[in-house]
Amino acid sequence: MHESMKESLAGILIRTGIQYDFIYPFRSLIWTLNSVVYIVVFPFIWLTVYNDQEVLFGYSREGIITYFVLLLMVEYLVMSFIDEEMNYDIREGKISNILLKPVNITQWYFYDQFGFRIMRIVLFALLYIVLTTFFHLPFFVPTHWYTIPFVLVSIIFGNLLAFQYKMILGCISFWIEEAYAIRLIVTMFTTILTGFIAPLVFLPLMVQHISVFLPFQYMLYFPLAIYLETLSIPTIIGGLSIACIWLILLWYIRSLVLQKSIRHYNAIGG
Amino acid sequence: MQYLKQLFTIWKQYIVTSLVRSMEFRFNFIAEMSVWLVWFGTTFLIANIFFLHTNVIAGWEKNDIYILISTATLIIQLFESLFFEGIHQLTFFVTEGKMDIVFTKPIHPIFQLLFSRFEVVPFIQLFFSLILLVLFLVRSENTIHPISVILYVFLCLLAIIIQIGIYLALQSLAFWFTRIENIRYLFYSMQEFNRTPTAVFHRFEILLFTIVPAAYIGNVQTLVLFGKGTMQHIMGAIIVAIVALICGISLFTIGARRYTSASS
Repeated sequence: MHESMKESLAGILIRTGIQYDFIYPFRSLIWTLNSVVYIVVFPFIWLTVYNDQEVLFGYSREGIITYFVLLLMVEYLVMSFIDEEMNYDIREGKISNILLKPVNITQWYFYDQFGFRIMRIVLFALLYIVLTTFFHLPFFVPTHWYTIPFVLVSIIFGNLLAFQYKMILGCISFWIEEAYAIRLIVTMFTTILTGFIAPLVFLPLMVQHISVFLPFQYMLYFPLAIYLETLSIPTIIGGLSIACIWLILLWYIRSLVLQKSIRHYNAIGG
Repeated sequence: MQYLKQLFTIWKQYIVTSLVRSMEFRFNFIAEMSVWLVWFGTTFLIANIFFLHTNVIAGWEKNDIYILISTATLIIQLFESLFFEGIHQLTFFVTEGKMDIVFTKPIHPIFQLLFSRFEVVPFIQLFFSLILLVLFLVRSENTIHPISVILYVFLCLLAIIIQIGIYLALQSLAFWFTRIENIRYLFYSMQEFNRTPTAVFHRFEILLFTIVPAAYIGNVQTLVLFGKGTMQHIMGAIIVAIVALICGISLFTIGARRYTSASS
């Protein structure tokens, strides 16, 4: 068998993703800068809100800066743009090409995003080193031995949750031609619930109570709160359990929705 | 004078064509309006989250911040309805080697890019921002002087020129780097600075008056309206507008020399 044929689907898709970013490095740099610019405003505003206080809801000034720096890292590891990609593929008819391939469509989209994740993390790390050198940004380092293993587990959960959720959103494009409006509106609301604007403890109590039972906080906020050691071990285990239940539920919904959507697409597309 | 009259006639024709095109996609109109309304609402919601923990942010009260958000949005919508989409065509034309369409016409290429696309949705959104601005101004405890209003309008026009210059410069990078149509998202992200009081950035505040001149797209206008603007703010806005425009035109002119058509 030819050497390249032996390579797994995951390997091929990750390699292609990285190669694509190497072909258009300026484009990748723009995406990285875009995320940094969008988020840089929030820590500055929060630091002003702190005023003379050293700690706000368990977050020190050092902690809040670390929160937003790591938010970008965790975002690259967890979040994906599958919904946008699926929308593009469906609109341009490229989805037929993927469906005809002897590969699972879920696996295809899952691995397809890994290449860009690796490149963004590398670029962001370089950018962070430059910024730290010039501006001496403080950074919180966890003190407990169990923090990092819990963070890694929560990131894996976050990644799988975000994938299921985004793929369900992406399936809307099978049914509605211009699904971007629905996707954008949903994303705007969920952005707040993931902890993108601020740690969830900064939000009104009612929002905090509701978000415990929704899957969104387990995508970004939860891994970050674990890293910053603001959660106790029972809370972490409780959170991971809820995330696990959501994962099973979303997994099932995603399979069902995807199956029905592809059937609908075949009926329309012939 | 005759030449200006000709340009005005062409611009009117561009507007008519754009309107006809917009009417063809009515669903897009509803979708874009819904997304924008939710986004605009979310912006105020986020500002409210900050004010749950404090009464003042860097000397700005809640209503002042609302006026700042409305002002910045007003300026952005005016720019987006008149010039944004037109300039944005540049990356596509360059990447696909279609700039010939622009270069071969007997009108200046920058004029064509600037005025060829009129967007209806941002133009309607502009009125929403204006209504909200007036409502927040009525609630405001600041006294608004008529001279401040004149200066406010003048500074808003300068802000449009600044945005034209910056966006034209960013888009002209397409002559050097391929596939950079995502630069529009970077431009969108930069708008976060426009809606934020520059004082929160402490020692980095100076950057927003120089390298990334976001202070002149919202902050300065609002300060002038409150009677807190200085001569330095006004002179700064004039200088930045001139520099931004020169940068945009120069980068376009230099870049255009590198352009190769798809058919050559």
